[in-house]
Amino acid sequence: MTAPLIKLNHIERSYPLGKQQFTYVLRDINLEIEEGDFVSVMGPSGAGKSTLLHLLGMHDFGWTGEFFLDETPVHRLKPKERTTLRNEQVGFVFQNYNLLDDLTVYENLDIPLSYRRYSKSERTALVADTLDRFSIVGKKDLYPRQLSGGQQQLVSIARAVIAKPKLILADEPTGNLHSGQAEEIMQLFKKLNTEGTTIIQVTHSETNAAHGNRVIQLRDGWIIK
Amino acid sequence: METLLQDIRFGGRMLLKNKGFTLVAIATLALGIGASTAIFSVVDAVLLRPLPYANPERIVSFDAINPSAGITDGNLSAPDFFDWQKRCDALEHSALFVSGGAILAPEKSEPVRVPRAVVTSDFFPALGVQPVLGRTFRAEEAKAGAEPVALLGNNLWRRFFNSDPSVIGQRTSVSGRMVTVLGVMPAGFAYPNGDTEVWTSLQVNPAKEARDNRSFEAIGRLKPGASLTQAQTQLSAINAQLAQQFHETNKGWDVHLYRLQDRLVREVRPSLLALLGAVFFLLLIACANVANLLLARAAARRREIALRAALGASRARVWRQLLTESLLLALVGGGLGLLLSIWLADLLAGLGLTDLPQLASGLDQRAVLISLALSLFTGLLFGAAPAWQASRLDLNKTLNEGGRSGGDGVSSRRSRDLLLVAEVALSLVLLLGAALLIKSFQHLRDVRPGFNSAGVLTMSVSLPYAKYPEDAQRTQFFSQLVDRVRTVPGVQAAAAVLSLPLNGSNYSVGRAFVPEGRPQTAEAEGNANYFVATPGYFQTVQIPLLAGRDISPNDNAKSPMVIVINQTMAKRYFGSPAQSLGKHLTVWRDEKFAREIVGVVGDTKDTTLDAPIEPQMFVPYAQNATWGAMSLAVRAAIEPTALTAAVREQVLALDKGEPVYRVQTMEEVLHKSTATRRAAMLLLSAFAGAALLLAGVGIYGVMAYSVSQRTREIGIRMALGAQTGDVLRLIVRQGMLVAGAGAAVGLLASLFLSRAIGTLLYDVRAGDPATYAEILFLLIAVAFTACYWPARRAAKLNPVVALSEQ
Repeated sequence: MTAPLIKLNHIERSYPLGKQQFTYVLRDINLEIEEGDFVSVMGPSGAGKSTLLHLLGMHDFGWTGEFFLDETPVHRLKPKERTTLRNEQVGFVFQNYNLLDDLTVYENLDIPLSYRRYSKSERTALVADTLDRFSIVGKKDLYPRQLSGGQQQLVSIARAVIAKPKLILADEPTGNLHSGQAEEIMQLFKKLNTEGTTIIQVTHSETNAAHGNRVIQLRDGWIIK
Repeated sequence: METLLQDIRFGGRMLLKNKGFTLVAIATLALGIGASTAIFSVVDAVLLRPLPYANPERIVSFDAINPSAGITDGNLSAPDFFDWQKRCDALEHSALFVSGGAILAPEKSEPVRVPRAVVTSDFFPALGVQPVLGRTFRAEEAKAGAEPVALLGNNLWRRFFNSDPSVIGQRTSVSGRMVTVLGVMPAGFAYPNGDTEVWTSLQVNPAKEARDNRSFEAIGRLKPGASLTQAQTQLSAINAQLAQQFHETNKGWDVHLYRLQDRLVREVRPSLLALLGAVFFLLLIACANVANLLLARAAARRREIALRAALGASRARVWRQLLTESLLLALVGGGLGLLLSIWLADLLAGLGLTDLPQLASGLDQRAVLISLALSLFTGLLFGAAPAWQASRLDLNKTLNEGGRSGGDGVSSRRSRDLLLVAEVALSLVLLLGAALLIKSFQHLRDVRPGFNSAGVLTMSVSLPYAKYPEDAQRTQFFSQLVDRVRTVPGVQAAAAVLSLPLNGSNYSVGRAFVPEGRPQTAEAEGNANYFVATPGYFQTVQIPLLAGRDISPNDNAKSPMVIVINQTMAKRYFGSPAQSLGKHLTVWRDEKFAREIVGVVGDTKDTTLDAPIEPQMFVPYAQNATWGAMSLAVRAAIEPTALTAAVREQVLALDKGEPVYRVQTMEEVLHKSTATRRAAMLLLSAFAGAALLLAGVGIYGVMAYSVSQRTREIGIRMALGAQTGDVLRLIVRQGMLVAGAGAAVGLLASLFLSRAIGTLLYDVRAGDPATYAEILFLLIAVAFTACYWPARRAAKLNPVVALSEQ
């Protein structure tokens, strides 16, 4: 039996409120996610969904407990090692796309590769492949403000997968899109998942969650299902 | 009106709310406006304000020149002057004068030495000045044998004559002669020395004066309608004729006519103009800084401004609101700047940048007006850009953004970058100027003056010819005085000399000489600075004796005539110091006999440290006691100023009517000789330091603002894999690109502008590559530091927090 892609043991995340007082955002999280899963994290506002996602994306280091990613003990890694691991394994998709305003579509796709020290020729080839794969070749010289919301999210997903991560984390990826566009994005996630990428998305939408194979419900920082 | 008051109130509240921003902006403006006002006041007083005489543009000053002998600002001879006066019809009035000192002994007062000018009768009409009491001189009072007459300075009249109008017609003692007071001059009039207090009539007979006795100065007044060039052409033509007629004395000599104002400020003009340029740059840097701060703040207030517009504020109203705030800032900064400039003006007066009397006036109404105008100008200048940008906001977009995301537009960023480029460029120019001056000054300080200034006290004593008419009397006085001073406890050595090194006596004499074996003609003569000294002078100021012997007490009027020369003269005219000994020379225009060279001493700097060494001749005072005014040099075993009273007592013990004056240590003489350079260097360095600080603060401010605006972007980049180094590089590169562009512009500008301070430099080229490299390194280092801190902060951003800045 192979080890899970993600394993969380007794993870807790709190913020100080005052002297000796804390507010807990995640409580005793124990979770395993297998490679190839398409997981939807659901729950009301303030339940800790985004916090969990950023924890998994190694953007946040202020938690306690054990976190294994592909058998690597993240909790024992130094910040720089965590960044390296994140760059190798994780792609991120945001609700509001978070494309860089002053860069073209092409340059936005190139950015993650440049941070992963790919060579110039490798980057050119990968960006060209990705533009083709997502059918956005015609838009490569446009700036984000010249695209519709759906197109921007498409670029954002393309950017998340360009470095071939094992895991895609998506924070309400269709939150700013109308239903037609949302359905297209979910189909795209489904396709990526079918091709082997593990996907964890935070969503409020039952319809979106239905595209996945597993739902995790959070409430007040606890996993309730 | 009510809305304007509302704007002012709101503006004040906004400034108080952002205390950090307000403090930095006001301090920056106060520095820029204060420094500009102070320097401009000096420039205005010295260079721009016309002389306080009637039609000052028509007053001219004469300088004798002899290009082949390297003389560019020599004195004139009386016979030449009277020839010009007779034959040049472009001049309405012209006057000859000699400036020096006199001992005034009014009744019931101790004798006191006062600065005096001895002038011909046209002196006052040439200047266009009338006395407040009595009258000026008449032509007949300038004739030899006429009754001696004097005019009193206003201040002296108040001090010694209790402002008594009946002083007119009274007789008083001036340098041992009784003179009749003819008039009192207006307050503030002190030409030619800036502190002259007595004017006596110059009685000169041109027929009896030698044409090569060039010891007079002259001024003139152009006829109405006559130009300076006209007068110059006429004088040069007359001089050409005189050179033919009096070949031996006049060959090669001409005169250079200046407007009097230009002549007075000739030495100080380059320093002042350089400083004016520097403060103008500093003001621009301050403006750029504040404009950048305001642009950043306007960007941060986009939502507030959009909201105002949505609520009905017109574009003009938005302009007015923002300009009111910037003007408020500028006026407060200008007010503080004015206070700063008052302090700076005092500092400038104390620095010895110029000893021109105009400076004594300090700050005046014009300076206050300048300060106010600068404040309004800067307020409008740095307030306009943010107001313009704010008034062009896209309301829908800005309000929908919630005023938080997206940052400001490309044009706003570009404006800030351009301002930063200008700021860095201006700073580089200032820094280079200051660095070149500092290097010059260091080189100048390394120049050996040729004597040991440490531990030497100097003072002047002037024996009136009326009281000491004979050479023997003067010789005896100074011989006894030096002997007495040597007995004072704490004195190691003492001597008297005609003029101290580095213009310490404010008097110098040049003489023509002919070495033995050459014909006594103008073609064969050489020129040297001429000194008379008592025995022990070289030992006292520690000028080394290189060959032969010192002037000895046995060298007197009856012994063989001897002379000591300096190394430069020995090498130039006799081969070497050793070869000079035993040779003879004749100071042929003044003496009919030859002197034997008995000693050769080391070279000393006569006028300034940067002037080349000239040939020097030293004659025993006992063999030429023509001069009654001598400087006493006293080498002390203790603090030299502690001997002042004791030495003064020795002078009074010999003659209680002889005041000593110009009491100073040789260290002070040395210090004074570099005072203008030091002052210019210190000021320019201070301005350059301020510029560097402002540029550093400016870069830091813009980068810090940029980081705050790019928080979201940095968060995204980090989420996409950027590491600390990537973020550091991103931010530092952005700042260094702007700093680099500024440095490039500054370097280009410096290549042209540094020539403007070429005349202030000594032993360093205006384009000195080492200085350029050092300053470039310094500026880049400061820019890097200013970029690094915001970059470090950016690199430490928590991506989760950064991404939540939506």
